[in-house]
Amino acid sequence: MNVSLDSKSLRLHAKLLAVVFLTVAALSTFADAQKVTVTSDFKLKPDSQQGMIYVRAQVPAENHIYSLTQKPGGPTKSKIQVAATDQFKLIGDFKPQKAPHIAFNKDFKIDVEEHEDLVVWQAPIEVAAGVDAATLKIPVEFKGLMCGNGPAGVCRPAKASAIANFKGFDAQLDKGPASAAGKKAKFEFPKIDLVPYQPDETHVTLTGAIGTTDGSKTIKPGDKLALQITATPLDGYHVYSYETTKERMYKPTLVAFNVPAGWKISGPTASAEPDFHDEAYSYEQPVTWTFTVQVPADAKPDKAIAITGGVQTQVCKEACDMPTDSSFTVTVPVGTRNVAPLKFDSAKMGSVEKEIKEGHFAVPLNKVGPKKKVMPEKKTESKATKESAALINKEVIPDTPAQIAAMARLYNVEEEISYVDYEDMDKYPIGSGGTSTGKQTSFLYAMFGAFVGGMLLNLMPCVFPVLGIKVMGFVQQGGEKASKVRMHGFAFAAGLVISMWVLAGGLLILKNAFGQNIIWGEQMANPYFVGGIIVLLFVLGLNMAGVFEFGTSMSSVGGNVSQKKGYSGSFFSGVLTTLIATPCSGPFLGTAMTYALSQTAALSMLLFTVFGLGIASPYVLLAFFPPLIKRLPKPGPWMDTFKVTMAFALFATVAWFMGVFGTQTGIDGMTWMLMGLVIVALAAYFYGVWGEPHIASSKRWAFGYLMPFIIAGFGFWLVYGAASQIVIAADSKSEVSDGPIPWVTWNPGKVKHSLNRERIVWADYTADW
Amino acid sequence: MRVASNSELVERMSQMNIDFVAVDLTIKTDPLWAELLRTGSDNLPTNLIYPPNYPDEPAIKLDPLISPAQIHKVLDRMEEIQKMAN
Repeated sequence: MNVSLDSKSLRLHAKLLAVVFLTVAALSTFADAQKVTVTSDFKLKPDSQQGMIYVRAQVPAENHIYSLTQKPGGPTKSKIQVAATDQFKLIGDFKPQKAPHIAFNKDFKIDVEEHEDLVVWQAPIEVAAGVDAATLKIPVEFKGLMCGNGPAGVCRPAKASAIANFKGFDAQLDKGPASAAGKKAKFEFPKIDLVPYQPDETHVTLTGAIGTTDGSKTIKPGDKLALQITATPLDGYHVYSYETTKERMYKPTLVAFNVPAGWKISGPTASAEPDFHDEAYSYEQPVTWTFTVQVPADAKPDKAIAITGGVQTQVCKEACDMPTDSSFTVTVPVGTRNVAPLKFDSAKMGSVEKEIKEGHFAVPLNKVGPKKKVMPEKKTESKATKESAALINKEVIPDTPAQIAAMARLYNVEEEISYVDYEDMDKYPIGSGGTSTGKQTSFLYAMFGAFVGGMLLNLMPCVFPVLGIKVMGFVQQGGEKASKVRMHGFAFAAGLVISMWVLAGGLLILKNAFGQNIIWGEQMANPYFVGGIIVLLFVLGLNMAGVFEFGTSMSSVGGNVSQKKGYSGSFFSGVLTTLIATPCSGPFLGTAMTYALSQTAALSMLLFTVFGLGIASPYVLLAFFPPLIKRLPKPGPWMDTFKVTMAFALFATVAWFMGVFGTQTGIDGMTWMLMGLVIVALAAYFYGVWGEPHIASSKRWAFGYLMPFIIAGFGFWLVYGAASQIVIAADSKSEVSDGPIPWVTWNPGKVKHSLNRERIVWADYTADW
Repeated sequence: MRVASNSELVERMSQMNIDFVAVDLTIKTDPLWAELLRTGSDNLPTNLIYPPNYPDEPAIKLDPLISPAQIHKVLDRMEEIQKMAN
């Protein structure tokens, strides 16, 4: 391709280059102007190695950065990093001289803490002995996020560094930081008689005025005025603190403003700190909120300027008045007087909230909401006893539906919890900032856990009745050939492993084909499964108690030791063991089974097989060592006593499962289940009495088979109905457990709410099973 | 797991500002499951102890099998954090 450049095209290219260059230069200048700049220095107390290091961040106008303490789930918090050396050390955290402005952010659903203009942080520092402070240079790095003010404000990472040099000695360091605002100017608001306005059917009055603050006789263009609103609660009621959001667990006082173009309003400051009780900030005494109104320099003295707005208040004592909206209007007497009253009137409920949502409220100067306070705690005696602990329990009360609804606003399910595993505690000491990233389980460990966990599971209370049944089976086999005993062992292991495959296969199908989230043993979360287990164990208990005997086809399933033949009995013992064992948890199992469920289907099945073999291993081992079996007591009448005793062990297991079933189905479910079991027992009784081989055939079929079948069907129908009574915990329900430790029901935001009150929180993720 | 009613532990915990929250998955619901997953675990039981200044300091995730000595160690850490915060 031939390229030729004539003089015209050269000029065009030169112009384009110039435009690009100027644009880049302009953008660079703009970008520089939009940067956070940082300076730093440190001072020491006279004759001391201790002092204070200061970091100052200058935020460009109309922008803000976020505090060092901004909670996760919101914008990126600022960080100050000071590289540690052996020449100095920080002996405290950086704290701002001026608190950030804190406001609830609806998008993040948390409080957002912002700094504007010049932010000064300081932290106590100690210079090592022998180090000359005058030559010490401390590198400081600032990182954060800078965002433009307003809803459309653009955010960009902010990064700056500085070197802190020694600034000299300062005897005032012990007396705390100087106020960033310097000395306050004398505040002189004009005196004016105000007529209180009382909204209908409320126990509060409102007054307000706008006026000069410097004793001037008239309001002039360019003045800063004070607009004061006073709320006076009546008859012992209290009014809530001022906020710019209604997103609180109580109804804060809201104030909306509409100011003319060019006028600015900010604030307020409150005349007093609010009281904190019942998890709310309020005033029982009159409170005045003072807003600052900036009169434009070009305001026309002869032109009537109106500021309008509204106030929403709610007052409470034992009960609360309805929240009430009041409107106000004031004509600012520029050039004529120095003060004018606000005129209040009734307003449509919700109008103030609507105005605030549209951004018509005062720009906060500083944190105007209540300071974060720790919930006052009742002190306990140092020698607390069990009785005192029980007393503490009584102080914990369930959350109300309103509180639960309010807490839910604090909850962000997407926010991951940062944690350190117990075993990593020493690795990550306090202040290290380290967190665990989740344990990596190896395949070999999972294999080990599945086998040993399965073996140990035999000692868990829920499997113990099966152990007794199996021991009786071995006693019965004591006189048999070694090869036959071994076959019984294999049959038992086969029943256990095959039923384990069925169960695991079902779980994997649910997980892989239907995308269900599976927890090990979670079939116990299904009341139909639990109901089925209860009926099975109950029927086995009846059998062992002698209410009826199984037919030959199911010989020895329940330890019917008089029946000698049938590997099927051993096989079913294995199936039963799987059914009973799987919901139980024991050492090593949780990790191994969680790992198993996260693997491919083939690996999962392998691990479940190992788990089954682990459970079966003691019995199989016993079957391979006949001398061990021969050391068991010889068969005899004692076996009947043992059998009935094991029946009671099974009934005890039924009682334990009934507890789980009751949690799932409530009192109605429990009642129906007990009725169902009684009916099933009746069916078993008829079968036991009329189903014997010596009964005449017609009677046996009518009363021994058909009637028990119908009765049992009715019983199973009742059990099914019982399992259908699933209790779904209502979101608005909260309970406190009995016992010395007051466990409170979790609800979304519950943990965060407690943490906001600077409490330690113990969260126990558990299930009755 | 519910903490064993070890009287010494109960006595100590009664003197600390601890809120006990039970996330009961006896009946599994989607919100409860989602909350469990936030802990980085899909296994029960899972126990987390949050310091009062969380998230400045992370929570401690306990082992599935807990001994009173382990709980005391975690409570020591929580008390230290509490003192530093005050």
